[in-house]
Amino acid sequence: MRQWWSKVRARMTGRAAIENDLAEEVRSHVAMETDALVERGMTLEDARAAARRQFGNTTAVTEGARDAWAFAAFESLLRDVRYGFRAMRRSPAFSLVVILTFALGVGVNTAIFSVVDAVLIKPLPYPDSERLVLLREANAKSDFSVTWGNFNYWRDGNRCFEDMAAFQGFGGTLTGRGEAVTTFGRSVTAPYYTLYGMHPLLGRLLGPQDDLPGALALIVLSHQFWQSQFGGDLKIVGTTLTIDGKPYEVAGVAAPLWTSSRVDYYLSLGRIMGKPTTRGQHGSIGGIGRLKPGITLATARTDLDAIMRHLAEIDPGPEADHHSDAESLTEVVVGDVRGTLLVLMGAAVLILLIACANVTSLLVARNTARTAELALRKAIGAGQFRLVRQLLTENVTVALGGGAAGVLFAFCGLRLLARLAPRSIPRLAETHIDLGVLLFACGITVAAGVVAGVAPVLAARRIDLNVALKEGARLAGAGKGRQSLRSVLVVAEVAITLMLAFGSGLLLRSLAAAQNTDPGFDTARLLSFTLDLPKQAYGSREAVRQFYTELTGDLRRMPGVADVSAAHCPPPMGDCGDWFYSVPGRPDPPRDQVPVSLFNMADAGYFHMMRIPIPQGREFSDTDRAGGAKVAVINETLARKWWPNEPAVGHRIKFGGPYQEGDLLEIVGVAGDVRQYGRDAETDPEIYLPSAQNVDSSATILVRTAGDPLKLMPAIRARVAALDRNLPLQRFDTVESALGAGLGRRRFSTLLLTLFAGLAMLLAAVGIYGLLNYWVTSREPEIAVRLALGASPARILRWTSLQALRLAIAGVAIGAVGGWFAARLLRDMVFGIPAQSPATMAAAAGAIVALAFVAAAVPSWRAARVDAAHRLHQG
Amino acid sequence: MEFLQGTLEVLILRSLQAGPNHAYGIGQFLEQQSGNEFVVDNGSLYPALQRLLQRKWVVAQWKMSPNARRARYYRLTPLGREQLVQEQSKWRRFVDAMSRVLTPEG
Repeated sequence: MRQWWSKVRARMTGRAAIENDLAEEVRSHVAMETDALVERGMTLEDARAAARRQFGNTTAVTEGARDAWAFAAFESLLRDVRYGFRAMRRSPAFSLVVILTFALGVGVNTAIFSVVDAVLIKPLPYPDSERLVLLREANAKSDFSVTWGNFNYWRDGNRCFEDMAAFQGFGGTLTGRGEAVTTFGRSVTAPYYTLYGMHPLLGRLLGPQDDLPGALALIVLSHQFWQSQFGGDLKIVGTTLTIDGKPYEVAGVAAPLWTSSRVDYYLSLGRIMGKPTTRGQHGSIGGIGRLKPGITLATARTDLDAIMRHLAEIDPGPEADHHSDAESLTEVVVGDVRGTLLVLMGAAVLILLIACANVTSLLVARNTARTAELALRKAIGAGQFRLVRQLLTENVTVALGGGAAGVLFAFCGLRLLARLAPRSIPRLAETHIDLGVLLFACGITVAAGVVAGVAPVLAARRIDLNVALKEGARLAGAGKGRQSLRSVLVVAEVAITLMLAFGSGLLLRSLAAAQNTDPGFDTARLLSFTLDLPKQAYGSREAVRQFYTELTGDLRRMPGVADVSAAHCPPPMGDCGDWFYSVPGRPDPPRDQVPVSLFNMADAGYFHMMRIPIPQGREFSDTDRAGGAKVAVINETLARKWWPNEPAVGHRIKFGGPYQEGDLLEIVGVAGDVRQYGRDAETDPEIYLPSAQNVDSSATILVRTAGDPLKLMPAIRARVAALDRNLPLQRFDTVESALGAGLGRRRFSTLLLTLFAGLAMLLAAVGIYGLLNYWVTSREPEIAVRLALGASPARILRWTSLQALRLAIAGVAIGAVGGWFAARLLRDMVFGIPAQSPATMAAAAGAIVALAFVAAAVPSWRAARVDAAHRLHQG
Repeated sequence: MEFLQGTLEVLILRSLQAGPNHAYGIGQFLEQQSGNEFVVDNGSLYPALQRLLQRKWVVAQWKMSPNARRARYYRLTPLGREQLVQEQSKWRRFVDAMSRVLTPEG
């Protein structure tokens, strides 16, 4: 430490003095030696030369002496950096290509890394969010909401959680403030606020005293809802809001909080649920808890499972086979985008590798041209280490220039990315370039500079002084070793490029396949919107049924409307509720393996209107009335599962598992499968019930128009308002665009990977071009001789093209093997084709070979146009 | 003969025991005293002197030499003297041990 400090001090004060002392000391040394030699009888002239010779290399001596002090290392670094800048200025075109190449590689990586950082690496913005756990129930087949009863047992009996809250999301209609608005509420128990680290901005949040039955009906608004709906009204606390016809007093406004799905306000769940009664009553409740420090997810599950086993003994029932299901909140929020983002990150790293290979290749070529200079520096006493350090510093300096440009690229790229990205990627909006990202960019830049520089520098170290100084740059550098190093680099680039092209080809074909899948119904000119009738205004089943009958009748009579129908959950709305079912007469499955199916309610004529085929039996008609025989239509997937070789029609199916109460339904028809979850999703078993026998306050109305559906939207809106001004139309859009939106993430990842493949191809083309160009230049004399000996230009063209082809084929062979195995990583993103698709591989390989030919065209053409006579005279 | 690793510094200290001297003089001294067995390479001598300066075992001063040349004279410090004594005894033990091993017995 002491020594280090004295070095630093020496550096601050005595640096120049030390330099001067050394120089003068050397001069006096030589002078004294000269004196001694003159004394021995030499002439002054001879003595001076001899003294200098005997002293040795003065530069090396003073440099060595200076290196004993600390500043020397820093100073020579500065000198190398300055030298790097000078070298950059000397060959601006070369530097520009290198900087752009680095910028591309660093830019792509920085942009993708900042997304990965924001979405996957940064913890969710809640206190100790890595210990937050979502809690549900599950059996061997699937998972469910937790019942209020079980939740209370968990909360009171567990030993692993610091705190636990229950929550229940719902859609509610806000009325009494201008137009009726659909809102998204969340009923929560009091600990929910502390678990999420929420603070009040105005008023207060709800506490345990508000969570009791009989407490005042209070509401806490989210910051975003307060802003958008009430314009940030500072006097909102204490006023009353009407939601689904019930009054709530505003207790407070929460400070801004990021949530993975929209939450407009919070109500008290405990006040509504009251004292837990039965364990079996499910109601879409979820649990959230914070693990005690050091407790693993598995321990927590074991803990809750022990409670469930105990409950099964003392209170058996339908819940007896249920156990707990605990998952990290982070995993639930970002788990399903991890794969996509990691694939993109991997692709970005591959691009950086290609960029490095290109720069390496360029540097080899340039150091070749600099052989004479390097040899000279060596001859005047630069040590090997000095030389290596100088070249590396130069490379890193250029790389840093590229890195800075890359960060700029990334900055612009991110804005584009944010615009293109689908909303379904959580937290993407928070992506920005912060210190962590900059450090990452800096790290990969220096790494890239060193990686790209190391091979050329090692080659430069072996410069043979005699050859280099005597024969000049060209001969010394065009050695076979370097040429083959550059060939290896180009082959590697081609291989990596093929892998990226193959990957993007797979995604492109998947996207095309997804876009072209038959959704199972006719989407042409089809509009849909969802209504949810408030229970206050439409209390009875009869009122609900009457409203929907009247609405569909009105719409059907509208000019420009071809047909109208309604269903509870038409595609692509996904899963609006699944339930157990069973087939009477078949052996009962074990308790924890009761099958589940999607359930849907449809109007009479729904299948005809949607143009869903009915291969067996009939669809619902007006004869399927409430009070009549209970009927069902099942989809083909379900029919195939239970009645593969006989008609399903006429059999019966039970709503509910064999251990539950439930209606028996007669199967009257089988409907074609529809893509319930979207174009690129598989089909689940589905059971349709007639709306007339199963009235639900929520329905989705489907309207097939005669002309442009968008033009009819205002009229439809007006028609609904004419029946009830307080009904908001939810998700009012064409079915086509809803299906398209479902492909947003696929489109996004496909676009990015295709872009990356394009960049890789560009870089590889530059690499091939550069190498071949150099190859032609160094072989000009040979080409001239061949031409002079009668080779036709076409033959020369073939000769050089063959060079490019050989490299391309080697790269394609390696890349094909690599891509074949790497395709497994894409399996989750590929749709409609096998991930290891030979046709896609062949197309990608063909594209790469064609690319090699194009890149080789200019150098080849140049080779064929070599002026033999001129070149031979010159040479 | 080249210097063994780490020997040059102790030899410089030893040469300064007789009195302050400049780099050229130190080189001459070492060559003469070793019966011209050692060849002093300036590329080693100068960095070694810098290291001794840094450790404060020697100090340097510009003076006139007897033949009227300005030269940089190095002088032992008390710290350097102490170091020399330690190093000398260490080297003696080393040389004794070496010769005992190398000399055939009997």
